[in-house]
Formats: sequence, structure tokens, C-alpha cells
Amino acid sequence: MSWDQHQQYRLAMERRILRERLPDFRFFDPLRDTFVSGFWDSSQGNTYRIVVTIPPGFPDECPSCFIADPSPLVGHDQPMNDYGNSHRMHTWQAESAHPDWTKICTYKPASWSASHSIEKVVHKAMLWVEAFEAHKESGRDIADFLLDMD
Amino acid sequence: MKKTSEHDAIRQFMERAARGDASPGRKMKYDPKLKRFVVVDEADTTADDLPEVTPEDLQSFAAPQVVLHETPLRAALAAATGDYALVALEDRDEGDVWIVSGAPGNRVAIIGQPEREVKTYRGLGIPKKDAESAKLVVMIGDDGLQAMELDGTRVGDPVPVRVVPSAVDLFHRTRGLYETDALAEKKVGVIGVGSGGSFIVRELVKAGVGHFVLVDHDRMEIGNVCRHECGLSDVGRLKVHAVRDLILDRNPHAEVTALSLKVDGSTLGQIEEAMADVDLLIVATDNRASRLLLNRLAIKLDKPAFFAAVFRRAYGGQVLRVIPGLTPCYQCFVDALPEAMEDQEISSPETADAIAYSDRPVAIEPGLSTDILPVALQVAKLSILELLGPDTTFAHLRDELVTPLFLWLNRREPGTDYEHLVAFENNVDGMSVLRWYGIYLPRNTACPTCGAYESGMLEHVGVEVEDEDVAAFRAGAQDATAKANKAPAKANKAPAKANKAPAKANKAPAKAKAQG
Repeated sequence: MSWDQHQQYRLAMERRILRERLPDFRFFDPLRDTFVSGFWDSSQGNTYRIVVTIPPGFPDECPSCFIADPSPLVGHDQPMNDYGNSHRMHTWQAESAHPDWTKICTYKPASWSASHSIEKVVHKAMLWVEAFEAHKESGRDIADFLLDMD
Repeated sequence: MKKTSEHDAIRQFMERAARGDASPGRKMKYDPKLKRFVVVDEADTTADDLPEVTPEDLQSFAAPQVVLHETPLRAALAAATGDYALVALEDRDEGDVWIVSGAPGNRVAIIGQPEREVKTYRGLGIPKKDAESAKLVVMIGDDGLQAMELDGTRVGDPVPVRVVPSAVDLFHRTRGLYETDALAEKKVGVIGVGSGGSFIVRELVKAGVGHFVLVDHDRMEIGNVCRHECGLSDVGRLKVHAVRDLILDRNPHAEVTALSLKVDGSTLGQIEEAMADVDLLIVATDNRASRLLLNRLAIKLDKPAFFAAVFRRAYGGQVLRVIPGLTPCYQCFVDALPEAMEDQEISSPETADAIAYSDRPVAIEPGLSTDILPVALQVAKLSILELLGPDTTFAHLRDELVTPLFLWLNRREPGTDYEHLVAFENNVDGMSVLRWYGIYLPRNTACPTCGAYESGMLEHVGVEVEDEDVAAFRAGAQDATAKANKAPAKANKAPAKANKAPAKANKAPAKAKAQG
């Protein structure tokens, strides 16, 4: 990956803000398949590993967000990856590069804006995790615990 | 004998008439008593009562219009190994038009202008076999082109031709209305040559724009034909190639670069290189990422850009004008009008897949061509004004169309903000459909593309970017930093190991819960 001058500064900003606001999350592989990763404990005390992959066109292209651990992630009655592209569960089809990671919907590419920070994406992932745990407990859809973007 | 002489007289009279020559002192008439034609002297008063055969009577069908394309025919002769070339004759409209465009074939022989009048194939310098298969011979001289029919091996009389010349002034009818010569030197980059983009391109080439860079990764499909400028004969072709040919059919002297590329972060470098010297960018793509990427490119290259977008089912559309440093950019619009910017036409399975879920499908509802074209036409008009600049006969119009955002509504679509507009009828006061609205929008000073987003964010969080933060993402800087900081780097590894311990500790309770 070769970041242009503006991207370098934008990513530097993201890195600095993460260090300040979410010190458990950091950048990895900054010159190749760049991603942000960190472990986070939900309100129920369960630990999840959240991964945000940075696309070559960032910040104009929407990053992808995954729950990489537990892997596979199992919901109330089935693995979350079995839902595929699901509005009810706010998930996307798993990617071939990481078939056991659960790809979650933090932003739809059609709604993405360059003004959204990585910190914000991570926060939305955390909210998804909380909604997931509510689903796991109750069997209700994740969509019942999150607002629609539409 | 008499019959022979009567027949000869009739034949000679008709032959001369067909050549446009009059038969001096002679007329041809129809004798109803003899039930045949007769050729009589004009002075013969006994034939006064007989109906005369007029030139109009002698017309049985119109001769085909012969159209010669000078540039490829000259090229075919120049490339020939001998003194002649053979090309195709395209018979169009059931024989009404014969087109000789230089395509490979053997129905037309191309030669240089002979020094003497030629009556047979020998004088043309063409082998008998080729002369027998050819229907026309085209002679190319310094003064131009002429064509004659070939009947077997005999050369007929010259036929009327229309010549599409090498240095054709295609724009003479609009010259004087504005500065078409100025547009001939302009270069426009058009990213997205679908239904809207292809129309915009066609209008720009008709207006006189002489240079194009086209970008699109898609191929023409049958479903495109009802809206696209290209037709069934182009199905299967890359859209950039089909639209390139559309340009060249209007202006064979236009320069066109056609790039089959999907716009994303990995191809932006190639697109930037291709657009480096354009005068204007037109973004007619159908997805958010490409628009954001191209918006940033326009700002980076300091190029004016127009973004065309059509709402769902083409109930309306909008045109965004981006002048770097002056107007809001596309990202400014996204942040200021998020709902409007998300409202888009779903015209293909790809567009639907990009926003659909398997349990919440999105219907493919392409709009009518007539609903898309007003938006495309506005882009074409604004583009021409932008390319002409301030010193133009259209300066008054340029001074009127000053807002960065233009809104068009085809109808009062239920479920939208425009559902309850005043009906069009004879309303001249209220906002209604089928007219353009200019909308002012200020620049966003904190825009992540054209504003001070990063400094604003850092100030908000209360931190500053350090050199090592930037160096982390700069190739080459990392190695230099690592070499300079070898000892401290090793020392820093210890804290990293220490930080791993808490993560492991957190996992233990999770496992315990799972087991529980």
C-alpha cells in the first residue's frame, strides 16, 4: 500500500486519536494490508477482538469491520456468518480472506463519508457487540437493538 | 427495317434524356392509335394532339445517393501495393444510399485520377477479374473525388456523389453562435459513460469539444439500450469503446482516450495520470466511493468538476458544480445534505447489490431516459459554459447559473419532500416540477476533503500529530526511523509484552463463563 501525502496525514491523525481515546486499539501493517485491531470487553465482561481494515482509498472508501474473535461467532441459535448479508443481524457476507471472521455493518458504503473517523467505526462496532449480546440472550434480531441507517 | 429505325430512334432519344441531354428538334410522344411511342419532329403539327413524354415520365426510380468518405479512401489507395485498392460498398436503406467508407471489400475500385477519359477496365489499370466484381470506380485526384459506375468491364458515366472531406468543418452551422474553435482544443474527462454520461459526451462532441478521456469498466448490455446513446450493435462491447466510436462518428478528428477501469482506491493513480491535463471533470458514476475519490482528485488537481446524480426511479436529479477553492466540494454536500446525497437511482443489479441485504432486497427501478436526460443536458450546458470561460457570447447565462447545486424534479414523488409541491398547471409562483432550481450551499471549513478536518479533529480531542505518527505510513521513513532508533525500539518491546498480559487475563473469565 502506498499512501499519498494526504492519506499519510489523515492516518497519522487517526493513529494519534486512537492512542488518546482507544489505547487498546492500534494500527498494524501500516504499509501493506493496513488494519486497526484491538480487544474490547463488553458490558457482560466478554472479550471481543474488533478488526477494521483500511481500504486503499481511505478516507473516501468505507473501511470494513469484523469481529475476529470469538471465531466463529455464534449467535442465539446459529453461527453469525450463516446470516450472510442480513439487515436483521446487521452483518455482511463473510470475506474469503477471513472466512471465520464475522463482517459487521457499521456503515453501508453507499452512506459512507470521509468525515467518519476510525474511532467512530470502532465505537459502532462496540455497539454492535452490545446488540449481539442482547440478541444472544433474547433470540431477538440485532436490528431490534440498533437504529436503521435508512 | 422501319421497326428497327423506330426502335433506334426511341432508344437514342431515351438514352440522351437519361444523360440529361436534349434531342434538338425532336420530341417523343405516345400514339394511342398505334399503341406505341413515336419520336417526331417538333415542327410536326400532326402530332400536336399526342401526349408528350416528359423527363418526369422517364424517371422510373431514383439513383442511389453515393457517399464517399475521403480520408479512409485516400488512406486505402496510399496503402495499396499496386495502383489501385478495393474496398466495400455498403448498400443502405434498400439501395437508396451507397456508402464507400474504406471498409475491406471488393465492390469499389479506388484509383488515382487518370490522365485521359477512360471507357474500359484496361484504362483504369484494374485486372479484369476485379473490374467484373466491382460496381463503382472512385478516382482520387488533387481536386477531389469522383465516382463512376462499372458495368462489367465498361466504365459508365460519372455519378453524383456526396463527399465527406478530410478537413470537414463539422461545426460551421454553430460557428458565430459561440467560439467553437475554442472548444476544439478543450479536453474533458468523463468518468462513467452510462446512460447519462454517454448523452453528455454526445452533446459535448456536437458542441465542438475535441479531446476526451473516458473511464468506465462496464460493458453494454441489452438492458442498457433503452437509455444509452449506443444501441444493440454495441451490446457486449466495453462502454468506453462504444462511446469512443460515437464521438468519432460525430468528429473523426477528435482525440479520445478510453480507459476500462473501475474507480476505486487501487486505480486512482492511473486515473489521476490520465486526467492530469483535462480542463474539466465530469463524474457520472453511480456509487458513493467513486464520487468521493474523484471529488478528492478534482480538488488535488485543481480541476472544475460536475457531479450528476439521479434520484430513485428518476423522480428527479441534481447537478453539483465543484470549483476547487471556491465552491463546496462533493464531500461538503455529503455532510450538509446526507439524505439527498443517499437518494439515488437503482438502475442495475450491481447498484442494488451494493446497498441490499438478502433479507431486505432493493428493487431495481431504472428511470426513463426522458427523466434522466434533463439532468445530463444540464451537465452538458454547464460544462460548455465552464469550458468557454468568462469572455464568451454566453457570459450573461454564465452569470445566471452561479449556484453550486442545481435541483430538477420530474414529478411529485410520493414519500419524498416534493410530494406536496404546487401542481405545475399554470403555476408561475410556487415551486413545481419540470424546472431547474439553483441552491446555494456554503463550503464546509471542516471538510475532510477541501477543509481543515484533521486540525479540527485534533483540536477537539486535544492532541497533536507527531512525526512518528506520519512516518508510520510513509514508505522508507519506517526503515530510517528503525535504524536510527534501534536501541529504543528493543526497549519499547518490553512494554508491549507487558500489555499482552491484561488481554490474556481478560480472556480467562470469558472461558470460565463459556464453560459455566
